[in-house]
Amino acid sequence: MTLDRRHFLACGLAAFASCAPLRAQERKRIAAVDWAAAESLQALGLPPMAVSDTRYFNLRMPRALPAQTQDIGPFWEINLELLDRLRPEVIFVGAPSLFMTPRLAEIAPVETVAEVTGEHSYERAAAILRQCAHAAAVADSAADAVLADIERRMAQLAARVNRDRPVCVLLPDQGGRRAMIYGRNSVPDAVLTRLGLTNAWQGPTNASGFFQTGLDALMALEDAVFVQIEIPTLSLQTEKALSESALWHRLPPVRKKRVVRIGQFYPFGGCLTTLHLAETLTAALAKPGSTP
Amino acid sequence: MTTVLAAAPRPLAGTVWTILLGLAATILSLQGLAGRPDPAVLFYSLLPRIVAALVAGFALGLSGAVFQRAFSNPLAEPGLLGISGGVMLALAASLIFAPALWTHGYQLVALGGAGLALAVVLAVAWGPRLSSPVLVLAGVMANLYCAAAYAVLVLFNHDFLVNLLAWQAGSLQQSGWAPSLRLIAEVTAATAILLLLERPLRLLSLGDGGAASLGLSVRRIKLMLLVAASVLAAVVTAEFGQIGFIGLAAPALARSLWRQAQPGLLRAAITGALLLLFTDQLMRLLSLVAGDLPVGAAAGLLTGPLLIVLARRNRSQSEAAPTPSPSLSPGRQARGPVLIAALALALIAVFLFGLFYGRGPEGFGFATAADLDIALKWRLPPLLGASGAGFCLALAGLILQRLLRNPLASPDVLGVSHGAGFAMALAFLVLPDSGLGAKLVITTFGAGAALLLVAGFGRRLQFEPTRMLLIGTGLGSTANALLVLALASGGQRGAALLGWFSGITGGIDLASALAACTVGGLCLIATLFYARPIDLIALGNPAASSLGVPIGRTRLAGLGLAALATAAGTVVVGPMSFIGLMVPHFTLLLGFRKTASAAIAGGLIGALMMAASEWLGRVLAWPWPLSPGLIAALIGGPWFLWQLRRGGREF
Repeated sequence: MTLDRRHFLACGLAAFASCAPLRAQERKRIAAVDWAAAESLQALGLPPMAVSDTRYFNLRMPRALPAQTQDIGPFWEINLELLDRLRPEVIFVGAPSLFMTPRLAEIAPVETVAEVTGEHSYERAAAILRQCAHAAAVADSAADAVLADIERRMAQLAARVNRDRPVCVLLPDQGGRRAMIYGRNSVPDAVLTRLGLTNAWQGPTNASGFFQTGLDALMALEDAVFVQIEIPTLSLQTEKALSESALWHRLPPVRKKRVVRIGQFYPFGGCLTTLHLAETLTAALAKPGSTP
Repeated sequence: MTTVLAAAPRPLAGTVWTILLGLAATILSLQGLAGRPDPAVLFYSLLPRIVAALVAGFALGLSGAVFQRAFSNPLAEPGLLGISGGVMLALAASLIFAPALWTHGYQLVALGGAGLALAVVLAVAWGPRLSSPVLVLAGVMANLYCAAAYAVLVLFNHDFLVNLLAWQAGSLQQSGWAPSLRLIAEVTAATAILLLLERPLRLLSLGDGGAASLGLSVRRIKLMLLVAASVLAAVVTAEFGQIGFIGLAAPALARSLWRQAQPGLLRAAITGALLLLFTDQLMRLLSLVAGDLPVGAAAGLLTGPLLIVLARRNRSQSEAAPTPSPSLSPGRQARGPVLIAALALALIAVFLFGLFYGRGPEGFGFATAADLDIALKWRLPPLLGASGAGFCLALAGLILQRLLRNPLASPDVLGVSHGAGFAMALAFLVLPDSGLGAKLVITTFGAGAALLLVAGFGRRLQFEPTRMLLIGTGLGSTANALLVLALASGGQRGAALLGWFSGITGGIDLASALAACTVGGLCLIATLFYARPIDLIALGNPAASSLGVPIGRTRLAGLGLAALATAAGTVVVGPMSFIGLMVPHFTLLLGFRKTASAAIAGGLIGALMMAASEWLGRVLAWPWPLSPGLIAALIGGPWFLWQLRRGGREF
């Protein structure tokens, strides 16, 4: 089912991108260290020729990279010699990469992507998409078309989503004792707001919008639906730990079986991640488990 | 031994202080219970958390007390012998490679890891008497090895990153009774065994020779003690992650409270229980605003200053601790100049090979005329920087080990690397856009500040070796705790920070590489200038002062040099202690005994090792780079342990 949605998403956006066809020789040679930029380029129909940590990107992001995409190492230590040999014309990075390997700037002009901070995490995705279009020398209309398509689908999802209850997006740890909650200013929070949902967690968060806490802090969220993030490699351990966790079973949403699951996502992702997250959230909340 | 007899026991004062600590912990606990929490939260979270803190603290305090007494070393703790490191590595590896094993019995995995670490360490130190210095040195090396392998696992498995980091930080957050009850059963069994062994342990404190003359099989008793104490540390780590420094601080606090050189095991255990409860409850209060603060990291935060206080106050007892001498038997008298020339040639050969032979999209090959500029542009600065950093760190370790007359002294143990690393982490989180020049200044400032602190406290103590190490460890633990907290909450920056701490070299430009080499060269010249006084101090204070060596001043100058060299090395390859700890022992093994020739040879060995590691790191996991620090640890560690085993037997 997830695959179908993903397929649909990919085809739809590719169709849009083909409105502004670009022949291979006109394309800029772009390397993306930052994944939000990489997926924005994908959305524009211009997948970058080199991406950091491609294996994990394909595991975690909504759309897989073309097979010939070159892996250039992890984002905190790019293989500079390899990247230089690939002769990129522009490199998209997040601030941490540039701090770790400032010599990236010697290879090609560097475009720094905004970090997830403050209240503009939804607008950030659009800003990154426009930044990518600009740096890739495609017409702004291409970015506008992609954004309009995403907004149209967001509106459809917002009209359809089950808004009965506030939602708490959380990732339990493998000990079954703590959870990472996505609160104010996080990407999931921005998606919830866009869909017209209420984030059940209105408590404190760190700079990236996360809050790591014991399960006791969740006791107060009596009306909420828990959206539990499942990381495939860890789900076995997490399930076992949760099944043995006495407090987990006494949390009101768990007791009333208001727990739904979604797959993993990249919490610093761009426009494809937000749309994909909106789709999985809408689908998950529509399941019978989510109604009391 | 005289101090044991001289120090009058003051049980009353100790009891009063312990009760006060207990009261403070109780008030904090009651504060949590008084807030009329939800019954489920009260019963499944707050109460088990109190029990968990008490049991874990009890186990760690007891384990630490046993280790410290068995080795007559106030720095001994379960972490010191590689136990916690082995447990963490085994758990992480099973989580990644055999999740089913982890799911069905992580306790067994943890015990297996602890057993393996202990077995390796014991195999290295196995001799007629299980000599303490060799054992401790082997433990430190095993620990560094585990830490390096753990870092590789985490860096190559993002999926697990957050989980592994949170776990490393050690949280006592509870959601049921199962872990606490399991721990109570395990700890009760191990405690019973240890209490039965308390009397033989007391005799051990007379010194290995004294105990043997009383007809005790020293080796067998030490072995039983170590196994039981290691089990304690392993089961706590398996349930709650790494909670360091309770094992170090609780016995020290008990010693200080009761004014006894060797407080009873139970006293140390109870002190540990109360200390951990107090710390954890404090964290619980803070977590209401800041999110779950892992008590393991916080314990390091609080016990750091505590260790410094203890080091300054405990004059009487720390003199009783023996200062072990270097434990590798020196090699045959070296033909120094020939060997140094050979090392220099080897360094040049490795350097040139690393520069021109590499791996690219087409596989291995020599750089051709066409891509020579790319090879020089990207390979020269890291190679030069790594070599220079290796030189600096080896020199710093050599100076520290000689001045402090302790084979464990290294930039890391003295907290200098951590000072540098902490300053760097702070800059990273607060001023992410600062340039490389600023990075260098900030890191040097951090190393300098840490060293000033150590030196400031140390001056009044005449730079007495054991207490200097205690102060350094305290500073190191505090900086490390802040770092773990930053890592556990850092998201993307956390991974970047972890990369930097594992010692990546991709960020080096030619200027900072040359800076590291220049600092290394200048420090070598200064070391040669001070070589004779350092030689004499290494013989012992009375000998040195009778020959007219100004001990305080020489130590201050030497420590300043070590700080500078550490900062220069740390900026380039991260706060990695392996080279600084290992290379001085290599030089001794090669037969270099005089400081002057040992400094030159040590610097060259450090540079050689880092240059070779840098090349390996570039090609092993291509296109992913591996940090040369990790490679040096993973390859050098086993070799060093093997040498230690050969040399240690005759010790």
